[in-house]
Amino acid sequence: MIAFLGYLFKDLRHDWGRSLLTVASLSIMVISYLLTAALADAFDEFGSRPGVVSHNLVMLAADTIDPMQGSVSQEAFDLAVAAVQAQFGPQSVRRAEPTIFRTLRIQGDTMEVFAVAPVGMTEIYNLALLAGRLPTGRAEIAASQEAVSLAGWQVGQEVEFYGQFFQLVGEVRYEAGKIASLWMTYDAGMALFGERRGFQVGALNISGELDPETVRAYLESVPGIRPAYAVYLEHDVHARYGQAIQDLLKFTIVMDILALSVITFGVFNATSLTLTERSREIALLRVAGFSGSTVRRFLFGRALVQTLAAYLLGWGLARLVTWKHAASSFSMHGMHVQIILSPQVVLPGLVLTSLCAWLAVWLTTHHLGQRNLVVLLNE
Amino acid sequence: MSLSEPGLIHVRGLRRTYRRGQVQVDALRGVDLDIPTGAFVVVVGPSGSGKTTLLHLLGGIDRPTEGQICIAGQAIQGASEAELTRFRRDRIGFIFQFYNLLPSLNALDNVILPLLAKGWSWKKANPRGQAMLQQVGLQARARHKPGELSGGEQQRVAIARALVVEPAVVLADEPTGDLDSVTAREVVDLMAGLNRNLGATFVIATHNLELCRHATHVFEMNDGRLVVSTKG
Ligand SMILES: Nc1ncnc2c1ncn2[C@@H]1O[C@H](COP(=O)(O)OP(=O)(O)O)[C@@H](O)[C@H]1O
Ligand SMILES: [Mg+2]
Repeated sequence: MIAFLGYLFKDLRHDWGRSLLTVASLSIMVISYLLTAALADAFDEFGSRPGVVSHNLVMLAADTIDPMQGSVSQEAFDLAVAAVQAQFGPQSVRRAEPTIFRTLRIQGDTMEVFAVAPVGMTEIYNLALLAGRLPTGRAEIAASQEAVSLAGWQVGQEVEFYGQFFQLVGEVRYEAGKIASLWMTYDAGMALFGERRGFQVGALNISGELDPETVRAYLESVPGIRPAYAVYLEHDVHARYGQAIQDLLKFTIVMDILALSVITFGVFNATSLTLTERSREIALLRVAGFSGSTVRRFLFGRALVQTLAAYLLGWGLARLVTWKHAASSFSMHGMHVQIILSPQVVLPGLVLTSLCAWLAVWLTTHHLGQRNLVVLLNE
Repeated sequence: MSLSEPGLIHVRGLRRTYRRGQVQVDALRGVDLDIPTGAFVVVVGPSGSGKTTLLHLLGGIDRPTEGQICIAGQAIQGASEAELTRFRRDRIGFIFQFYNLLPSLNALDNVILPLLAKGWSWKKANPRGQAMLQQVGLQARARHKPGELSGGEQQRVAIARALVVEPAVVLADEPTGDLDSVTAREVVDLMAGLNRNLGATFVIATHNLELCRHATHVFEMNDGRLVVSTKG
């Protein structure tokens, strides 16, 4: 075994120029594989549904892609509340609050801003206080834990956005949308964004005995609600962006398969070249008494060493890319996304590329045992 | 040649037919021969007469179309691929006309290759390889790669490798064919010396009649047949 490895390295060293070229070209595909896999991994959590099912329905303008572009009229919101109460009983709507909603870029990070009456924060959105208190005044905000960690804020400090200073009075957990969000009172929102565009979200908290999906479907069928408004379950609104991204991420699987195919093809190519260029050497080994399977193992060892070297190199370069590049850490729809080469990205990749190398060598050499030695000698 | 003498190499009715598309080439058309242990056999004959084919069959590099080969008590015509590999490794040393050595390995590593094939460690094989290089007068060149050796030196390394496992037979196919006459003579003398001193059995195909001076047996081939065999 030691002798086998010794020969392997002597051989690679002798052929170092070619080996280096093979390693370099394979490593490029390794980088591509790793970055794509890391991207998929970073978005893996994105848009996944939270564990709790809330009994909140949200009413949005139907004709806009981004809810912040539309608005809900007070009449339509009142109509919705009345319709649910008429259909499911006076106790069916526990609380209804208009909510101003904006997506803003705050200190370089995307965050979602909710302006709702304090009672709505607790009774509808179910905010859990982690530190400080909920905002009450015009110049006060609370931030979700995602926002706090994204921006590196401290409760008590001042935060400036939209041309105004706010005091960060509390840190909260918003379970239904694990996003970077800021919370202020409805009045503060009106003062900040102006009355003209009204509110964007009509939020209804319905009785726990009711099936939220049944109520949602009913509301969408009420004349005056449809077709101007759409009604969602609260967590589905947040999952909506996630779903689009999840769909896009299916392409990363294709990209990864492509990268692995190119690696397989590269090893296949390098091994075939070795096989044709060095058939005489292989024949000499066979004449000297090495078995066909030993020669195959030798070729696999060669390919494996090259692939591992390429993986190591590619990993190093990919780390450099994610470390240097600002785009490897960013926020999207209020969620912090960080592309890192975690062990669950790097290790499966290592196993997969090794398997690809094995497959490639097997494909090139599986007939080697049957090859006539005389033909091999004279090639 | 006496049939009653069992000998080290025993060949009967050996045929090898190559098929190249529609054309059939009879490289060997029924060869019988017996070679005793310690012989220095020279096979001569015009180009295309079947010398190389015969050596390949004796060395388990190729398989006969028909006939029997028995070497050191081992019948090899029906052997499996694994048995043939072991047979080549343990019983045969082979020397080709040129390009005998692996360019990535130095002289010593090339010599011990058959020992490594047997599973010996590098450490265990090294002294044996050094000793063989000394036998061929190249102990000083052990660390040189083939590219740094002359043609004659490369053939000496090949001879050392062929002998390193103490094989039953050393088969050499025109070992001096690529060398100038002075170097060729040195290589011939080396082989003859090793035959005398180590008692190794040689079968050498050649055009070089110089070799016949040392031969215990001379076989002349023509058109796939053994036409003359004389004892030296
Ligand atoms: N692989 C092969 N395929 C077809 N014909 C071959 C092959 N090897 C040898 N021959 C033919 O067999 C005959 C004997 O060849 P060979 O044994 O090489 O003769 P020698 O070594 O005496 O020159 C020649 O006619 C040669 O063309
Ligand atoms: Mg020949």
